[in-house]
Amino acid sequence: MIASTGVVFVIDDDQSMRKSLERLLDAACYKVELFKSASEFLSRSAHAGPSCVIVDVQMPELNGIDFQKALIDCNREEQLVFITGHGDVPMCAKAMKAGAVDFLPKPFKPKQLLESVERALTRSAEQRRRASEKNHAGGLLEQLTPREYEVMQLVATGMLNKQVGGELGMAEKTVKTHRAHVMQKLHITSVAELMRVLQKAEVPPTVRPGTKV
Amino acid sequence: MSWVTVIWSAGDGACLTLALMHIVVWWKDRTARANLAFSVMAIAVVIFAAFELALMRAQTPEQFGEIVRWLHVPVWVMIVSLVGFVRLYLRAGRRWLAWTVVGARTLSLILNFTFWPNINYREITALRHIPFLGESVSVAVGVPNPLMLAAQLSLLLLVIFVADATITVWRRGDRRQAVIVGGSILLFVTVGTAEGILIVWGIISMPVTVSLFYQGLVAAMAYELSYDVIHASTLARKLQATAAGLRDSEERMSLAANAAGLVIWTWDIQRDQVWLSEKDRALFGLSQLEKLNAERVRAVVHPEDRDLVRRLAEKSLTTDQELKAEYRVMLGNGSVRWVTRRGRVEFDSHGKPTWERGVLMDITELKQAEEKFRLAVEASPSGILLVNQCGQIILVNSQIEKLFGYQRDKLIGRLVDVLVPDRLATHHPEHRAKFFAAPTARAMGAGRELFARRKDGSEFPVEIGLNPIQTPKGLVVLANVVDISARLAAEEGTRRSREQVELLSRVSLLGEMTASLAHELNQPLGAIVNNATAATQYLEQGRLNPEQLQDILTDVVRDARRAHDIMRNVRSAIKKGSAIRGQINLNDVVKTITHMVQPDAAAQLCKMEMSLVRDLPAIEGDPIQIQQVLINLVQNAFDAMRDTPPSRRIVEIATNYNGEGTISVVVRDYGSGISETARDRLFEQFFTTKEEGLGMGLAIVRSIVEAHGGSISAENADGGGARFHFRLPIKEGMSQ
Repeated sequence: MIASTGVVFVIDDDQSMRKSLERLLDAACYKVELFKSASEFLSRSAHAGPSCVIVDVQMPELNGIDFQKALIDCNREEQLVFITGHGDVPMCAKAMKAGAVDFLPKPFKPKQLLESVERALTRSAEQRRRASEKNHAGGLLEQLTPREYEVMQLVATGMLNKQVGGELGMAEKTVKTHRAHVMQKLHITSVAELMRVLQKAEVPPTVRPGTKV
Repeated sequence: MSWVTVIWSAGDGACLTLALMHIVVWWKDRTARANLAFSVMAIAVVIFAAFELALMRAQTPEQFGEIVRWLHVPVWVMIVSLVGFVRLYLRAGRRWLAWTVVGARTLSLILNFTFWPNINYREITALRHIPFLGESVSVAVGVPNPLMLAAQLSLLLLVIFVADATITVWRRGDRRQAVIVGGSILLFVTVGTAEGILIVWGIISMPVTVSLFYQGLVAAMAYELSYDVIHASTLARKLQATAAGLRDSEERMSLAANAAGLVIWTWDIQRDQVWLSEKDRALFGLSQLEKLNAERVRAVVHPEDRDLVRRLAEKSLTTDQELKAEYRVMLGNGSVRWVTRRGRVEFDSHGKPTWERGVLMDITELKQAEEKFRLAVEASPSGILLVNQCGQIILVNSQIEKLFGYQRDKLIGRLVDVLVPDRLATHHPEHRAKFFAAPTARAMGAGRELFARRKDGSEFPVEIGLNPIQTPKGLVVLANVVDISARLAAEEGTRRSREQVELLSRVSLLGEMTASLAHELNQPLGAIVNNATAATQYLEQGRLNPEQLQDILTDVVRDARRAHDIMRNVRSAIKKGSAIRGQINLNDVVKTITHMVQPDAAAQLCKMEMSLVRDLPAIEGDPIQIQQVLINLVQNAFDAMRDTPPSRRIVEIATNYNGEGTISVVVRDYGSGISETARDRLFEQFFTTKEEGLGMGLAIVRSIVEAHGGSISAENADGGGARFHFRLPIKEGMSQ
């Protein structure tokens, strides 16, 4: 349960539906915020923590699908759960393809909705975590000098110091020195750990020179 | 010189002159035989006068007798030629009488030479000299011969013959001829004869002067003949003028004939000779000298048409009507041309055919044009008719034969009204007359819906275009006939599918309505569920306070009321719809919807089977709603048979009338049937067994049926599947 940090946003033009959803989510111990329309939601600043948006597909003005598109365009990554009076298959497929967590036709069972909300918040939290790790690893990598970065890249491919020196036109001893600095700056002790940092920072793997692709 | 010599000589001179004149006439025109007869007679008179003169100068009785004897020769000539003149000139007198006169005279001439001295005297005893016109002339004294009666008989016969001829001529109307010729002959012959008798019998004493009378006769005849000369010259002048005119008109005619490409021909039927101009002979490759008869001329006719021409010639001999025919001829240069022949036979007073005159006209171009026209007409994809002013069909093409089922020859000459359906035929002659009174082209499709009638009496829809055409034979109408049944059927098909689309869209509108209805209903219902769930949660968590509960329940009640209102609106909408009431035949509704759902049925591989009871009384209601009931039931049936093997996917619709004011309709399928749990709630709102179902269909069906005063039930059928059964009351006053 990520209820403590997550927030569930409800966008529905029907007031009684909106209010009933608030009660339902509140009873399930979620923090809830209500919006009458999608544009009202978009004008609020993005929530920092995990967030889930329950949105009715059929709404006046901006409908659910267009709302989803608007979020993507702004690089916002709220997880969406659609609810609909009568959604058809193409619309559902479109929403799911664009990354929606679920597409629930009304009448849905409250349990169904709560499960979807939980899934959405989990996914959102996960996403947050990955983002922060990336930030952290990225920050560490930025401390490396260009030369150290080059050495680090080649080391990550599994090259020996001697090979790295040959590749970069420097003495094996110099390579060793650079390598020690890299390990120190990244707070790591092994190449395996280096690999994990690169993965977290989402740096694409370097192709080993001489390797035929 | 004595008077006797003067008179006799002068008379002789005159007679001789006339004789010569008419001999010349005869010489130039050998047919003028009457003139020859006249000349011979005049010469005989001259000789006779000479003998008379000799008698007056006779010295002895023997000499006198001898002269009398020879005098009978010119007399014979005179009488014979006179008879000839009467026959030839007056064209009268009995032939046998003429021969009798000639015979009698010849007999008396023979007797004259048989007895001495002659037929007049048995004996001349002496000569007496008596004064005559201041001169002394001889006369005979002697015994008259009784045989002289024979000579006198011949003269009497002559008088009778001439008198008879004169009467004929008189009666014929040629009165002048009768008086001058007949009268003078009778007068002078009678007087002359009488004088001869008196002298011979010695009753009077004078010399024979008979020639004088005959000279008078000659003068009279000459006078008459001179009429002929005058007449002839007048005639000649006229003839000349006529001939010139004739030449002129002949030239003009041949010019015109050339210009018009006419060949003028004449057939002398009795002599079987055909006359053609030189140019035309050359045209047909006939030599200029060859004698042409009908058979020879027929050789230029195309072999295939010869029989026709021969029959035509035979027919022409029996009528004085102009006969026309068209056939082919072969020209000298080998080419074949079409001609039209017109000819008329003339008959003489006995009704014998004498001449046939006529023309041939080259109509090859016309024929070729006709052929082109015919080909064009034949090739036309539409039926073409030519109709004359009397409404008779004068031309049809093969398309017409096909359209109407008539042979061509069965149509030509018949009234066009036979092609019009009986129910319209009575007014058709009027329409025709109106059209001919103000003929204007009428385009295809203009005007009213038209029907035509085939030979077998069946009708078919047509489009007719009319075009009046002026021809030399008068106004004719070219009618274009197109069978539009296929087009109408296509149009009907389009119309029906459009109707179907309209109906289906109306039905799907209902579907859409129920969808938006569902959306509307889902809001309060969903809210109720959410609120109730939340309340339960709070209760479980022990944090439900009374105020909160109050709040929640208020919302639940409000939402429930909202849902209720929505449904009430739907029901009242259905009721409002059923305010449109009309008479409905349920059989018709079944047929219509079966047709409407056909595409669906085909897509689902379902068969539709109807079993409709006949003579169903009408019910009263809204036809669209009743359609919706049936469509709903049928579509449920389709849905229920998704898992049924296609061979068993059948929807049966049956109507029935129990005779007690209720019509029942059964829709039966071979699907999964109705489950035990579903049975009781089948017609409830929002009850559905379908995953995507709304639970509205059967509820609406029931609402409609009940709004129409009926009832509906459902059950599982024997042999699998479900059976929906609704009953509707018939319209009041419709029960049997």
